[in-house]
Amino acid sequence: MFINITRFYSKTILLSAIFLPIIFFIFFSFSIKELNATNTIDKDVSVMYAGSLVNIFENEIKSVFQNLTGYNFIGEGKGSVQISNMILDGFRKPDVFVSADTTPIERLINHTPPLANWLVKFGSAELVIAYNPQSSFASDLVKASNGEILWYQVLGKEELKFGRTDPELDPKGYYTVIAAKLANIYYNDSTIKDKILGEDRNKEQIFPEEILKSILDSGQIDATAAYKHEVIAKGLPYITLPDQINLSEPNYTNFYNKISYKLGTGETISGNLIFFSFTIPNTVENIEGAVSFVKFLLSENGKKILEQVGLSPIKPILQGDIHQLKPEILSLVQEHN
Amino acid sequence: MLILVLYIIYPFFGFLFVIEPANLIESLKRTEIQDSVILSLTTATISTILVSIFGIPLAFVLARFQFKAKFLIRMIVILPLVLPPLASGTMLLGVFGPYSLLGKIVTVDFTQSVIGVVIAQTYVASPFLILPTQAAFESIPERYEIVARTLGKKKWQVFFSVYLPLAKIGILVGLLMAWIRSIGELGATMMMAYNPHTVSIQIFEDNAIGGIRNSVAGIILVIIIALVALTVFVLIRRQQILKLGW
Repeated sequence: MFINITRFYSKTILLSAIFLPIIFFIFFSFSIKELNATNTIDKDVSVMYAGSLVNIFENEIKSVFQNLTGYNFIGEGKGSVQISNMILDGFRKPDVFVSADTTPIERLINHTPPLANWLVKFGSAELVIAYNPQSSFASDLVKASNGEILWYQVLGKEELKFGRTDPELDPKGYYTVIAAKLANIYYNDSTIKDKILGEDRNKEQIFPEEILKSILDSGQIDATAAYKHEVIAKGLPYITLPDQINLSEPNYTNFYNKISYKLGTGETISGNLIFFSFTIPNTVENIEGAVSFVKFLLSENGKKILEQVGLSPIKPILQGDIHQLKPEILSLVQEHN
Repeated sequence: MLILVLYIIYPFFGFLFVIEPANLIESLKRTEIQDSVILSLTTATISTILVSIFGIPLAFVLARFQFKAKFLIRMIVILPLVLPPLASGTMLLGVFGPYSLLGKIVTVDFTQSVIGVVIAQTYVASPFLILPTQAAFESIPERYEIVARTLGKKKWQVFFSVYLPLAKIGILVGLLMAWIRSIGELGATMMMAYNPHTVSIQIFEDNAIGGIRNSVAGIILVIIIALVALTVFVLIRRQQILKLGW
């Protein structure tokens, strides 16, 4: 009798193990679809953006966009390469992807099947060095920001702790490496990059974008590479780099091109102007909301906000398959040119 | 009830589909993975020892003594359990960060170092030892102490010869839970010491760089560690059932 009961339970458990997960997932996927259809999909616009834009998007753009359009802005900031990986892996399906640099979006365009068909460059950024005013090197860092001493002489000091994002994950990470190598050429000193950064992926200097500001605030590092717009938004003191190094001056594009960084995936990133770009991925769930958001970014209101925080709006530059672009975005891009 | 069990176990089956044997073997050979596992095992052990040195006497006091601030101390002990680990890590920076009072006085690197990892793990894992240990001390009938005292044993002798042996299994469960919690710690450690990488941070970084396939090796190793801990837990429980009948 005991054996019969055991067999009965074994069968029940086996059948349950097969059918319950199926029932469970069917039930939940229907419930979630239903919920989305009735409540949220029309109103929520999910935007994944480069981590350096977190302050601007959450504190400035979000409220103005919501007030103007009535859409609900759902934002998530991460390293742009990381966002691109998450979309490629199917872990995220944002309605809009705003990236630092164009490479992360180009990866979606070049994927088979393509996960995006186009991108629009809408702003350019400048690389600077942000520092903590409480740092024990603060006086030298202030002097460097005033041009009294050369910035790389301070950053190259052995005891100074420098922080940056991962060049494998974040455009700012590989642009930092490129800028340091440009400094080697510009100052005709091949030791600058090694003194400041060490290896390209020097573990001691690399932190996730999301916690880099906390790491700087708490004094675990003295200085970090940053975009000008983010240091303005965060209220940090910073050192301006020469135009030949800061990757923001169109006249030096050829000079920037001299240096490149090779990603672990094999892609080579050439030194270039730092463009911020956006796309609406093909997995978009709220196309009207997505269009509304990018129209806002290109609008006078949007440009004004970007300008106030140090990200320079540019004439939108379209790249990719123009035929896949929504007519209203195309006309907006053409209108600005 | 069964749904919950399936819910817990189902991700393990889902995970099997992303494992590519050739890629896995290559990943396991990576020195970063090996170093991170060794670091996690070492720091978790140090943290657990630290928690036990301070936690076992505290659990005993909370279980056996009546005093005014007892309720308050019980609440404090639970705090690391209810706080999000990232919040705990951020607050720890206020105490151990380079700009904190301690950071300014002492020249030791509390952050971005092995010490930082241990500090974060010790903080987060402490309730996992204290709570089961306290419960184990509380379950021992007071008459055992009275008998021992009547036989002339001193208070400290009663602690070592009566309470500790009888609470042994509860303490072992607590030690195991604190240890495994330390291995899995991410949030507080990330704030205190992103470098050197523990296995949790290595998984986080590998996942960010190359997606789930890139982090398989770290996850597999953590599962193996968890299974070993689970086996030890089952053995302890069996001993408990055999000895005490519950």
